[in-house]
This record gives sequence, structure tokens and C-alpha cells, in this order.
Amino acid sequence: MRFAAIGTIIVICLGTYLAATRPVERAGPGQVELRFAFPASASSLSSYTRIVRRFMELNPDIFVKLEPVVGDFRRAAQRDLVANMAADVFLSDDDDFAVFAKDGHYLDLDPLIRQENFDLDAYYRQAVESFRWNEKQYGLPSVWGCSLILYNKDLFAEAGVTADPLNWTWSEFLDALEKLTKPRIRDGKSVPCYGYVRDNQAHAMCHIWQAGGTILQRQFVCPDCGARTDVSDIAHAAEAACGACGRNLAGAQETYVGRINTPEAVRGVQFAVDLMKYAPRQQANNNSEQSMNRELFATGRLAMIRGGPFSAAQFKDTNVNFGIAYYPAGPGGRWTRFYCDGFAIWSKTKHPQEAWRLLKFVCGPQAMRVHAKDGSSIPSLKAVAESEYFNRPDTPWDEMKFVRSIDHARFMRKTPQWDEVSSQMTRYLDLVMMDANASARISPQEFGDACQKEIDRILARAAAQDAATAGK
Amino acid sequence: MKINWFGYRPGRPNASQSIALRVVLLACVATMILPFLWMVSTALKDEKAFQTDPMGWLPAIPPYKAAGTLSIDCVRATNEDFEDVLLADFEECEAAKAPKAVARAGQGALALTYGFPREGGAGRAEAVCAVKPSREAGRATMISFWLHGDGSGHRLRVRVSGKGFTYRCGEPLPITFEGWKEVYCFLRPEEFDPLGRALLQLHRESGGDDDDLVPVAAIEEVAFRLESVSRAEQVWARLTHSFRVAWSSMPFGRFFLNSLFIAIAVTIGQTLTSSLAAYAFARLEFGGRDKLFLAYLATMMIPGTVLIVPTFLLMRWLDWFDTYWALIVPAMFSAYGTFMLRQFFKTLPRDLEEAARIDGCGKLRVWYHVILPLSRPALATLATFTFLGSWEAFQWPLFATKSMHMRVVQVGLSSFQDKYDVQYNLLMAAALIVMVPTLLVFIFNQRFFTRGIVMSGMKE
Repeated sequence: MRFAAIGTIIVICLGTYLAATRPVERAGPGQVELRFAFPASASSLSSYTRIVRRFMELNPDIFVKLEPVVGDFRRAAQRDLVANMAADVFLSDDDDFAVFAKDGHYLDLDPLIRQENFDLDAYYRQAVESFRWNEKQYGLPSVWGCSLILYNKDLFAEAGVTADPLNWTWSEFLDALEKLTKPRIRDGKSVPCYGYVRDNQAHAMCHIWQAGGTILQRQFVCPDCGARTDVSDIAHAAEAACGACGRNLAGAQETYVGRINTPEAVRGVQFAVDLMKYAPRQQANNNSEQSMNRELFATGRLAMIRGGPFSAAQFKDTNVNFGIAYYPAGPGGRWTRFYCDGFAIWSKTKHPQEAWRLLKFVCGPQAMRVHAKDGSSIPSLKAVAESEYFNRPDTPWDEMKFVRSIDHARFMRKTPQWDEVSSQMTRYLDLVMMDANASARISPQEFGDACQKEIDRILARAAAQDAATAGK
Repeated sequence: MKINWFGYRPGRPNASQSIALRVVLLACVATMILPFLWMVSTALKDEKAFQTDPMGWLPAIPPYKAAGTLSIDCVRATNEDFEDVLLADFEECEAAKAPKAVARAGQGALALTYGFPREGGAGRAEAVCAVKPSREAGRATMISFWLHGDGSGHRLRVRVSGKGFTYRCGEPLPITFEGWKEVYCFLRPEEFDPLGRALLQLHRESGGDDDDLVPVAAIEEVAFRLESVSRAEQVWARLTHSFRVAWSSMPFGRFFLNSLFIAIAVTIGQTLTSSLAAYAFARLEFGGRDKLFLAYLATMMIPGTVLIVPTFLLMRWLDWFDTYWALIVPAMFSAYGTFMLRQFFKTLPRDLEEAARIDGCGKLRVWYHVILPLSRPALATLATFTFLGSWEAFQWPLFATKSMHMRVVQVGLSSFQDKYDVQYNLLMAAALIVMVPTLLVFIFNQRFFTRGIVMSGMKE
């Protein structure tokens, strides 16, 4: 009983203290309260604390309650949206954007953008498109990134690789890998050194593009003749013309079709498979592979690693003398994947005007400067990305190489079914990348055919669901 | 047929058997303890230690440096709109050549040369730079500069002054890193520190308080002072680097108190409700008692994850979301605790209880005055299990809270891993801090663990 009494006293004292020291997180008189949700890594917490404080200084009529989300942000956002308690402004990335946009969770920003002539051209086009769905703008971009390659300059020099890593081709890339993948003497011992890493589904996709293929082809259905016209993922219907009747496609319905078993796409997969012999042996999963590859690169046993600004910032404390390389160009050109984070307003917010002010600020120049100085991703505002805030004069690498990669960074619109398509691709990619003598191994053509079948099934099911929903 | 494993015979083992047994036991202990030792070792390392080959067990501590030179370059001020203004880039200074990382911004660097008495004598070195903002740009919130550290562990203080104001350091910055690193000196109080950065919080000493910002144009001088540390202080600074960064990057103090409050409240609550329910199921006679008990027991078969959504909806309906109620009340009821105590209560002699009833005690008084005092071991076991379970809870607190000040330590720990990366040294350091209460409870109550397992399987 003595312990119970002591425990009770502790609980009362602690409870009183915690209640008394609870920070005031409520709007004052005359203030509108907005809730702002973002992923709670320690660095983002610091950045957004400062950004939001400045916003409140400039907008004294608004109080912003920070809601840092620990863990899987997408799951937390789903919970909040379903429970009708989402934040007024919250982070969205291009992975989950289409799912939430389709379900009507985002506020349509077009009226607000028109109302004040907000300049979307100040942002990179791919970044703006990342938050566009069914011809409506639902969010503003914050920072973007793309897959590039960091290479060990010393290993390149030692192996006699002379190809320009910003302009190389598939054959030059393979030639470089051939020279780089060999045992080297480290501390008197012979250790295997590798040229490149195993590509996962997201990066095999880049090789498919480089070969001239694609996975999901976006099409507009002509409202007049019903013909389907292939368009790029960043095309607007009002800017496109029907391939059959030549009329403007404004108001056209958007649709997707699988194209992963074309000869071009299969050639891209074959290239990804060809790179395998220059990579360390596969690990159990992508996550364990990443950390192992980082260690190999940091210790000079891996000549090239996929990476972007984030990885460059990570490796700056190592002794590796690294440079930035672009993906090699294949028969279909030089392509890498583009990804973007941004913010959107909850469609049920009670304060759309105030939320719009906050949204503009967290995706505006002040906030971008904070992200730019952080250096781990590229600001979506062109002016900041190309300024000294991102292109730091005091770092050993040239950040403009990241920025210039926008020319070959391809935005792929992720449909609500993309998750499923992607997991099927991952499943078959594991089989195609098995050892040559493995009985379960499949060929790139078999990979393409199997994935095509899955994509057709997934898209047909989604179309049937949409038709049923429309029927109701 | 009786199998004689490895020639084992019951009775006192001979010398070789005894040695073999000890070797096997030691191997088992080593297997279990090695991951923990690796965790401790990781927490004592800095970020760079993960990029060496091969990774060592012990953190690398550089030799004591009594003399050396630190280089400083690119001193900037940042205004409220996060715009940078260059204050000094030391183009003419040739005292120490900066490597290419900084040389792109200027030809040289400001040298902070020190020569301290060996192994711990007090000493100071100072370098002052007069600054001239390249343009007028609002009010200064931060001063930043590049510093070439030498890992000496000596402590750096920064002073920023101008007409009518002086900012001085609170806590100095131990130079535990080697190579160039950007150092941030906040001129206004900041709640959280960005990870992996070298930070200093400056306080306004004269000419106003911390929230009064000064114009960038008014800054006239930035002074850097290096204070010597002893070898012991240097080693300490190096070993505690991850702990300090981890603790300051999140409001861990608040998380810690939240966890403590919730764990103790749940422990008291669950012990109370379980003992009352167990008493009812063990001693009170009412229709359908055993069926009801079985039904209650069957809830143990339902995975906790399945209950999250209904519990969440209930909390929302009660308007308890993001409150301590949501973290405490659902955890106060436990089928396992009830089952364990019921089994224990059934072993208590009924005579004592009947004697109390004859003396006029009601059911509640019998429970309080007879059953509970006799059940101390069982209650302690349950309390131990409950405290540990509550302290280690992650999923429900993550689901039931939103505000930063409501988070618990386990949720705070997961902040060291984001979409792309895990800060292993910080994660391990924070995990070690979080483990302390668990370890204490385990050390003092370990006998209850085995007893708890025995009691759960006790026959009537």
C-alpha cells in the first residue's frame, strides 16, 4: 500500500506539473487557428518551427499549431482524413497525392490561384504537375529531388575512366563499369570493389525510359471522336490536340494504359539486368541494401552510388572525393525520375483563405531558403534553386548539377493504382534479377509480359470500380 | 527409453562437465549481450564512425591537442526572412589556407591559433573579426560561419557585438568534429536544434532582451574564443556527443515525463482494476461467473492491433483524442492481469477471509484488508509487467496523440529515422537514455518476472 500511495503522489505531482507546463497552443482572441502537419524528423521540426514562427509574425491574425507526425506520414494522414480531423494544411508527396486527390480530400486551389494571379510559372513545371489531378491544382510544391549518381573521382582516375559522367551513354557507362569492377588491395588485402549498385523498381523505370519505353502511358480521350492520344505526363488537355481529328483536347478524359512489354521497355529491363554483374550481391531487401551500399561507397569499395542532394550532404563528412554524374543516355534519351514534396489544404478546412496564406508561405521564397540551406533537397522555386542559397559557394560539389538535372528529370504521374502496379513490378523484378542459374529466374521479356498482364488487370478493375461509382 | 544426452548423468557434475556447462552458459550470455554492447558502443560514436572500414567496437578518441589552429571562414548573418548577408570572408587573410570547400568563397580563413598548457591547464585563445555587412537586410536572427575543427574537444564561445548590444554564448560548443562544418549561432531562442549541425545559442547580454532583434547593419564584431579542456573533459565530450545531440534535437525531457506519468498511472490503475476483477472472479458467487471469466479471458486472444481502430473511435467520441486520458484509461484494464491475480487469489486460504467476514468485514474490506496484503508478490509482479509494457508502448501513443508535448519517449525515438535515413548513433544514444527506467525496474524486480510466469500457470 505504501508503494501505491507513493505512486499516487507521484502521479498527482507529475500530472499537475505536465498540465501547468503544457505549451499554449491555442489561438488568442481575434486569431484564427490553423493546424499544420508535416513529417517529424528532427531536422524538419527545426525548419518548420522557424518558418511557421516567421509566418505568425507576418500574419498576427493567424495562430498555427504545429503537428509533427512521427512514423509513416501517409498512414497518419489517412487516419486523420478518415476520422475527419485532418490538419488544415498538410504535407503531400507525389506518392500519395493522386489517391487523396481522387477521394476529394484536397481543396481545389484554382479559384484561389486565379483570385490573385498566383504565379505557378515561378516553380518548376514537373513540380507543379506533381500536385495536379484531373486538370485541377490541389497543392503547391515545396522541394524536389531526382535520382542521380555520385561517383568516386579517385577510383575513376585509377581505373582510367575518361567518359564525361554528365554526358555519357549506355555503352560508355558499361565500359566504365567493366574497368571499375575488380579487386583492389586495401591494407594489404585483396577486397572486391564494385562499379554500381543493384537497381530497384524505381530506378529500373529510368532505364525503361532511357530505352524509349514507358510503364503507364497517359492518354486523352477526344470528346469529339473518342480517339485516344498518347500524351506526356505533364501535358495539359487544353494544350494538346487529338491525334485523329486534330481538335483541341480541352475537357478530354484522362486515361492510362500499360506499355511495359514493348521491345523498348524490355530493352531497358535488359540493361538493368546487365548492370547486375557490376553490383554487390543482392541483400534481403532494398532498405538493407541501401545502408550497405552507403558503407561500401564511403569506404571506397563502390565506385558509383545512386544519390541526390541528400546523399551528397551525407557523404560530405567522409574522405571520399566524389563528383556528381547523370544517368547514361540510352536509345530513348537521358532520363531520371523526378519526385516532389509539397503541401495541400484539406478540403474541409473552415479557413480556406487563411490556409491558402499559410500554404503560400510554406511553399514560398522564405521557406525555400531554409530548405535550400539545409541542402538535402532542391527548392521548387526556380529563383531560390538557382540562387546562392542552394548553390552554396562553400561546398565542394556544384549544386547546379542537381538543378540542371531538371532537363532530363521525368515526372511520372502516379495514378491511384500506382502502388499496386509498383509492388507487382518489384515482385517480378526480383525474379528477373536472380542469379543466372536460379530456376525461378525469368527473362526481361517474361518480366514485361507478366507485368503487362498485372497492369491490365489492375487498370481494368479500377475502371470497373470508377464506372460503378459513377453509376451510383 | 531414457536418452542420455552428451553422457549427462543426474547428480553433481564432474569437473569437465562443470567447465563445459560454464562455457556453454557464457557463450549464451555473450550471444545475448553482444547486441546490447554494440548498441552502447554505437551510442558513444559520432556520425563519421559509421563510414570507416572496418567499424570498430570502441569509439575513436583523438590524442590530446594542446596546440593547433582552427580556421574560420564565411561569416554570415541571416535575417528574419532567412536571407543571408555575408559579413566577412577573409580574402586577405593568409594565416591558414582553407581547403577547396571554403576556398571557393574566399582565398583564406581567419586563424584561431591556440597553445594551451598540456593535459588540462586553463587557457584561452581568441580571434576577433571586425565585420562589415555587404548590404542592409533586416534584423539578424542567426550568425553562421564555417569552422575547420580538429576534434580537440576544446570549447568554442562566440560573441557578437555592435552599437549598444552584445550577444554571448550560453553553452559553449565542444569541437568534437574534424574538417569543415557550418556552425550556427542563434540570436533568438530556438526550441529545437537541427540534427547533425554544430549549434550555439547566444543570449543578449546588453541592450535589450533575447527577443529584441538587432539590425544586420548594426553588427560590428564577431569574436571567437577557444577555452581549453582537460583530457578527461575532451574524452567525456567525445563520448557524450551523440547523447547531447539526441537530447537537444527533440523535447526529450517532456517525452520522458509523459512516459513516466502515463506508465505510473497505468500501473496503479491496472493493478487496482485487475485486483478488483480478479477478486470478483475468484471469490464472489454469482450466476455465469466462470463463463463471464472465460469470455473476458478470451479477449487476450484478440491482437492489440485489431483494437486500435475501435478504441480510437471511442476516444474520438469521448473527445479524449490527444489527451492523457486516451493514453491512460484504455490501458487500465487487462485480461492478463485479472487472470494472473485470480489464479493467485484462488491459492489464498478461504479461512482468513471467512474470519474477517465473521468479524463484520464487507466484501470490499476483505479485499482491501485481507486479500491485497496477502497478494503483495502477485501485485508487484503485475505492477512490474504493466510498468514495462506501458513504458515500451509505441503503437497506441502514436495513434492517440498529435501534439508534440503529448508524445512519449518511444514515439520520440522513431524521429531519428526518416524517409531516407537513420541516425544510428543518435537513435542508440536516445534508446539508451530511454532504457534507464526499464533497466532499473528490471534490476530491482527481476524475481517477479519468473514468479509471474509461474503464477500464470498455477493450478487451483
